[in-house]
Amino acid sequence: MATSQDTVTHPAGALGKGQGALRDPVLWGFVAAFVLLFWTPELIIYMEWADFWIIFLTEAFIWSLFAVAFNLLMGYGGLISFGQAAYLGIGGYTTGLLLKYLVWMNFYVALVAAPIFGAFAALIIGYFCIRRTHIYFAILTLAFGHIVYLIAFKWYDFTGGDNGLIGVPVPEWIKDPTFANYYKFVLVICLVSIYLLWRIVNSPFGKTLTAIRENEVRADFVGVNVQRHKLYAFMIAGAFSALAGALIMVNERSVYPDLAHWTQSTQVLLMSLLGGVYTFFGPIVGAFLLLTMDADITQNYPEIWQLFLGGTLVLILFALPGGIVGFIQERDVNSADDMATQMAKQMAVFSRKSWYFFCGAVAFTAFFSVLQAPDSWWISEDWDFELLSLITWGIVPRTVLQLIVGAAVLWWLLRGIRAYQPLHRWLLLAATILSIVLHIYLETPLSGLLLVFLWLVFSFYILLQSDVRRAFSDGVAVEAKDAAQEAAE
Amino acid sequence: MVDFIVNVLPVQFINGLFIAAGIYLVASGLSLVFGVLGILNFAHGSFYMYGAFFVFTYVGFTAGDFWPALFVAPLIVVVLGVVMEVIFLRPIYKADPLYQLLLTYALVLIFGDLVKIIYGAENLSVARPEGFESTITFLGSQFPSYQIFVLLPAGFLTVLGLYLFLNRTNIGRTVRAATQDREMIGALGVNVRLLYTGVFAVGAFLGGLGGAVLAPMGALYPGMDFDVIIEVFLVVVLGGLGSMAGTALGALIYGELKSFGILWVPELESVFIYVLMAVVLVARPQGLMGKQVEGGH
Repeated sequence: MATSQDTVTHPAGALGKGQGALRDPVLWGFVAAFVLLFWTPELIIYMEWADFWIIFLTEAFIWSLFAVAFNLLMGYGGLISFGQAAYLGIGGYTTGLLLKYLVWMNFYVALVAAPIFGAFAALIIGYFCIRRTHIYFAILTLAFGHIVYLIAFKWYDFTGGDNGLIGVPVPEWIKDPTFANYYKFVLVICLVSIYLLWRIVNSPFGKTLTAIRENEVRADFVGVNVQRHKLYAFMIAGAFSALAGALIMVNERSVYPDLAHWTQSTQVLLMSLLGGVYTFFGPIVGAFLLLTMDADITQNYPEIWQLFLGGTLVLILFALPGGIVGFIQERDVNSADDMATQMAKQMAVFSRKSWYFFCGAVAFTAFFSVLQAPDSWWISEDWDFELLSLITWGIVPRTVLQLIVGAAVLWWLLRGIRAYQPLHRWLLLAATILSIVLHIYLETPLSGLLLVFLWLVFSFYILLQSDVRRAFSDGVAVEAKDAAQEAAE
Repeated sequence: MVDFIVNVLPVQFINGLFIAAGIYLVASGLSLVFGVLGILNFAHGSFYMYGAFFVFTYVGFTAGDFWPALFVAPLIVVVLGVVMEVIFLRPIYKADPLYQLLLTYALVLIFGDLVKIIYGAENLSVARPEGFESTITFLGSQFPSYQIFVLLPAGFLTVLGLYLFLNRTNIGRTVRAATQDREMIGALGVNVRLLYTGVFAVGAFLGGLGGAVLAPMGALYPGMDFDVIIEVFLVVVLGGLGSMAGTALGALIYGELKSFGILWVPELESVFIYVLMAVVLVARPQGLMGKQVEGGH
């Protein structure tokens, strides 16, 4: 990927020699997270918030596990799998079929069978996929992922085809009305699994994997069995993905072929990219963020969910290659720059700006969606809060507020780009104004944001292109722009 | 047995040719673009889908005038492709291939939902052109005349046209040179940027043409882009990425395998091609006619 200098995050002395696991600060971080999160359902029930939140958090933990497992391949191994949802499906169907057809089957045995079978499937599929790298690997994982989907979809006698496998028996304790028991169960499993993955990426195995990502030939020369390491990574990712699939299955007590559909692979890919592929915890951030957006958009505008995913992906690729966590951890590049570094730096400036804009837009739209939708899942029905009276203000003050915020953002955004040609400045201005107008016109919280996204990508991109071209043609413009940037900062 | 050889074999073979011609029309554009630009265009399936949907629109507007649509629809797709190339692909030719892959993948998602917004999520269909609705009897069996007289010639002409274009014209030679060494061709004074846009336009045209020709043969639905792109990937991986002859061979094998596979295991006909691909990858990782370069793009 573009920012390979942001390699693996590795806290100083995390796993030094002879220290033992108990000295690992990350372990205590996990314990703290466990203690804090364990009683969240009680808190939600006590505060009389909607049960939705418990279900939402359960799903978010499962997807976090899936995303972290996926990122073991993508971030640490440099292997982008476009068919990771296959293992989600394999895990879900393994547990589901065992519980459904074998009456005597123990629930926990069925759950443990999922990662084992997932690893086995990954062994077979991986045997073919890891033979090729990069694009071939992507195609092959996509193809094999699709075949898993096709089998689940077409084999009516066994998997139930597109009717799915419904009414899978689960233990009584899972079926409690507040969903708290299952939340806790998932929390424990996911935290333990993610911690295991953390240990794996920081083990000699994980380091070797990263070395292979950086330079496969060199790793081969120093005696690393490249293929075997990749295969192991593929199996580990497959196992934990299958576990996540089984947890999703138990949560819904049913499983459909859609679980293995490529759109699920897209989501996990985006979670990793959004959170940051070269970080361990980034995908968790990405999972929470994406599921939040999902909950809003699919509720209001299910038909544009993919459009939104695609737009976000483009934005991340152009503006934020390191993802959110990667962006926070980003350090300045050394001076003594060649042309490529200069370009990278310019890119980084744009990233930062668009990123601030994005954060602002999210906060802004989230705020307004709270105001607009008292009955939605953001607040429970009986939340008697004075802010709600703001809604009666109607559309005029809301529009005025949005315009003020929009103008402030615009002003801030345009402050830094005085060095650009007037045409580009006007273009950006027009694009942003248009997106804000559309946003207000459509009266929608997040789909308006989507338009802001797309317009920003386009305008920034045209801007950036001409900028890079100019950087090659004459250095004066670049110097002028650098000076302007320094003045602005 | 005799009955099989006399009656079933030729029929299934010709049916296989239909499938092969259809998939080749789409796959050739992808393979050409990959060979020259080094970009594996996920959004090629979207070109196919747009080609088909534009035919639907054109036929709807002109009240059943099908033939011009075969040319007009791909041309509109070309416009789409050129815009995409100029805005999104140009700046990232030197980026990591995976980055390029992810970008075109993002465009698939956007294109896919745009179709859903414009045309709705229901299945649409295009009527076969006048005079080609029926079947004709050939070798004692019934074949749809559209497939015989439109699809097969279109596939054959594309093979021939691409071969002549790449081997007998100066531009074609330049294109082939670009697959060998992009920097050298630039140093020799060829406008590489224009060449890339041109090749991408040709690729988009072929993708749109595939969609246009196949439009009367099946339902049009959002998601057909993804269904076709996986098959196209199989074909080009089988034949060898970037090799035009390999793509043709891959399409032929794919078509025949699917056609005969349906005789034996109707439900899992699509599995055969995966098995074959797996075997080929173990024996010849670069594909049947691919260049002997490991890693590569």
